[in-house]
Amino acid sequence: MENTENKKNNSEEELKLSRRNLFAIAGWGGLLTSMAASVGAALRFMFPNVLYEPSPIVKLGKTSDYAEGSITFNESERMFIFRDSTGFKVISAICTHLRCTVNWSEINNRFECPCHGSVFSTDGKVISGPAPKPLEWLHVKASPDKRLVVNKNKVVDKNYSLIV
Amino acid sequence: MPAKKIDKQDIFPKGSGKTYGLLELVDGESRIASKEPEDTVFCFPHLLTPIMMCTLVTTIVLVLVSLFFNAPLEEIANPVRPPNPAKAPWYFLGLQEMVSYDAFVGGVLFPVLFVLGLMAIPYLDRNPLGVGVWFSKTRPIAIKLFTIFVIINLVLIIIGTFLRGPNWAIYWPWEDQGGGH
Amino acid sequence: MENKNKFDLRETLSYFAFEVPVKLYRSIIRHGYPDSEKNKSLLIFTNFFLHILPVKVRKHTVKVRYSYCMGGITLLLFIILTITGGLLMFYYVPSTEKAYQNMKDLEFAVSFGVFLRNMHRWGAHGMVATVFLHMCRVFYTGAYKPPREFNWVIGVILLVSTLFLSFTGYLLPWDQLAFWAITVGATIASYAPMGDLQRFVLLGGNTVDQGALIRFYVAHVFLLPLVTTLLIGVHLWRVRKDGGMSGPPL
Repeated sequence: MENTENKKNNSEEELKLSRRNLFAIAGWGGLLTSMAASVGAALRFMFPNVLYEPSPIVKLGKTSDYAEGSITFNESERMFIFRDSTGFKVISAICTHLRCTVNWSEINNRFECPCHGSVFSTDGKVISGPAPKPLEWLHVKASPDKRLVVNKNKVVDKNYSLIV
Repeated sequence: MPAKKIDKQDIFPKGSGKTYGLLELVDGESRIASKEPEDTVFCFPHLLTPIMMCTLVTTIVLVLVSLFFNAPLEEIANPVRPPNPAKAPWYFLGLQEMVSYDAFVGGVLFPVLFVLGLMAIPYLDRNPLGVGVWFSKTRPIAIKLFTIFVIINLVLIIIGTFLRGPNWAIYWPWEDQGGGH
Repeated sequence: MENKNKFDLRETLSYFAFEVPVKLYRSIIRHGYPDSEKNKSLLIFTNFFLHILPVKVRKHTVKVRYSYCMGGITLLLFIILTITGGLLMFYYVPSTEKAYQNMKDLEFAVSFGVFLRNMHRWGAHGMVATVFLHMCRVFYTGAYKPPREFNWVIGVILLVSTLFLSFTGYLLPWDQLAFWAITVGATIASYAPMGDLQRFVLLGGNTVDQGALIRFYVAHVFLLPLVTTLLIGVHLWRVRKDGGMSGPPL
């Protein structure tokens, strides 16, 4: 009889404790969750949803403006336009290392980055320096009014060429 | 010997119209009191005077420098052409030098390791000796390691400041860098 | 009784001329001339700005050739930078179109503008130097050892936040250095584990433009100074709690 009484008391005690634990867990859990949510919301706030940035698709000059065998630097769009006998190729002038603008060196027949000394060959391959990747070849097509249209976000193989 | 429990009340009985009381009893001897003659001085004027002197000298030096040397201002930002060479202020040239070898290793890995390594120093160094003495002979290894760290930083900054020219190529001071300035 | 209520011009004038100034002074400065130990103590701990100091310090603390005042000079430069920076804010608009023009205005069209800008820039260079020298001093005198381990860690964080303050600061004029430093700095961030996400959040977009300038501006004039001020407070508080400036054991 006494034994069962004790047992009953014990289990009641346990029940009480576990109820208290439950509230403690719920309290702390709620606090931590709301703090985590606030931090998450603050972080999310830092990522803008609407960007007022220029379009990555840009329209350049007429195809007839580029002389055969020429390399033209389009300064405002930071890209080089290669015109060979068959067509057009466009390579980005943005260094793959830390996004400086590379220069075309007439003397050495290669691209040179002024910031940290990366050097790229005519086909964009890294010759020396810290650049981890070759320069990017960009997708180019001709618009109906015979002008070049380049998509800066669309990287293509180095053999890609717009045949005209 | 079984220690007799001392109650605060035995030493400083409460409520006899005093304005002071015993807060706590601690083990050990009083460090300051055991030192004879006294090792301490009053902050006023012994510490405030050097502080004021430091403040004056620093301010005067800064004012003079600001009167005679103008802060650098380059041309207006041109988003298509970086200057050649494009150099950061001197304190970041060590970082720029590291970055010019590899962006991840020099720009992320090493700086993070530097900072974490510095933070870990007090927990890695288990030698309790040499506190309060410049270049204590009791800690030769720690001093050597830290000096190497300082020298690496200085060398990187010196290379970046004096030896790098256009296209971040090495130019010795006597070489013509080919630039306008 | 009658006498007391009667208006006495001479008495009133002398009250305002002689007693009020003394009362005013006594209500602000609550200690006497500091020639007694009591007044020397009161001078320190009844003054808000001095109460971070103890009343008495160990003798070696006052020797300039122990610490070379490097930590103190760093704090002083931080205060000077806060004041000059606050003033410069009156003439600076964080806009890619106006920022550079504002720099030119400070130089040519604002009285003492160029002087304040010089103070701010050279003070910043000085602070980077002194914070580094302070770290060297603390290392070479073994001052990071127990019980000061964690204060060293706070010091390292302060070194990093000083560097970030400098970095965000020289971006603001929107000159060539500024633009290419943002470009390079943000791209370095894209080499860290989460890649382009970090670059995006630093720049507030994909290109270095208005969004990036305002982010660096807010970091420079609000976030980083706030964190730095707080940490300086903790740093100094811990110096006191750990027994004042380190020194040889007693």
